[in-house]
Amino acid sequence: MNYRRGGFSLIEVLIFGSISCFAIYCVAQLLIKPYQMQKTLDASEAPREANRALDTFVNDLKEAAPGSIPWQVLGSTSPLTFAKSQANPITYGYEGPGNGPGALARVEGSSETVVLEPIDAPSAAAPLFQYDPSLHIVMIDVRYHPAGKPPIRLVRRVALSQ
Amino acid sequence: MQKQNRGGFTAIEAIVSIVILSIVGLMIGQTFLQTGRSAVKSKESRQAAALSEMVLEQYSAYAALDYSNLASYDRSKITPQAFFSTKDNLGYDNMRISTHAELQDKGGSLVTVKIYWGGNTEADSLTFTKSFAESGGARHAEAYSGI
Repeated sequence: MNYRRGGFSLIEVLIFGSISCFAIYCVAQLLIKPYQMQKTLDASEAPREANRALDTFVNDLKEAAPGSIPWQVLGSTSPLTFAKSQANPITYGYEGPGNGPGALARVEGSSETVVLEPIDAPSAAAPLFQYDPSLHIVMIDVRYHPAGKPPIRLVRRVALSQ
Repeated sequence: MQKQNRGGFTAIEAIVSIVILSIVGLMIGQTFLQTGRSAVKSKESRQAAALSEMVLEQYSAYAALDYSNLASYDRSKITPQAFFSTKDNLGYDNMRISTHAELQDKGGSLVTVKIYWGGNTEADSLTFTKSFAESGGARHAEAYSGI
């Protein structure tokens, strides 16, 4: 009597297993990429928001009276004070512990607002402001630490009236 | 003797169904991938726009200082560090800058800034333009557009 049990042979099982594994691997590779890209995109939202916060600073600088910027220094960890008019000095600077993190704050008269936080404390190697006296450009260089995301470096270069 | 049919799939049927399911899975994955790619491209475009803004600010300063010689500041695929004469690439390590300034017939100078990233090919680049007019030494930007 020719009796066949109806199950798979070893070769069939091996072929089936290999093809299944390969298919699962291919699909998994493709499905994981959008997830990784989504993570990248989530990280890119933070610089957009931070740049929007720095726009206030840039707009203030653009309206600065030409003589009120300290062009005699090249790089500074100290606050930057300038004026839109004689009666209206504005100061931007780091506020917080010397080893960071702290905040970029804007002070106008008696009102103080936090522009961006948390940021690294400025140092001589990485000052908050750098000046190019020959071209009258102020460079703002901030290391921002958004919550739960990798730190971001935000740089803005603003050309001012001479 | 009665032939017994157990009613399960044969190996061929199982393989064919796995292959079909994989193809469908791959197609769905491709769609996700396409969406993700365009989103990443949009992130790179935003970075390019931010860098071009700084380059055009630099040209604003050049225009105020030396308007008649704007063309002498043309550059080709250089690093941000080289363009701005800074200590590093200001966080734009994978980007390169090309600039070109030319006088326009109707007056003023048109500055074209091209930002490259990735493979530095035309496909991975964005072009921005800004017009500068000479007005008694003071800079004056007339237009700004990303292409």
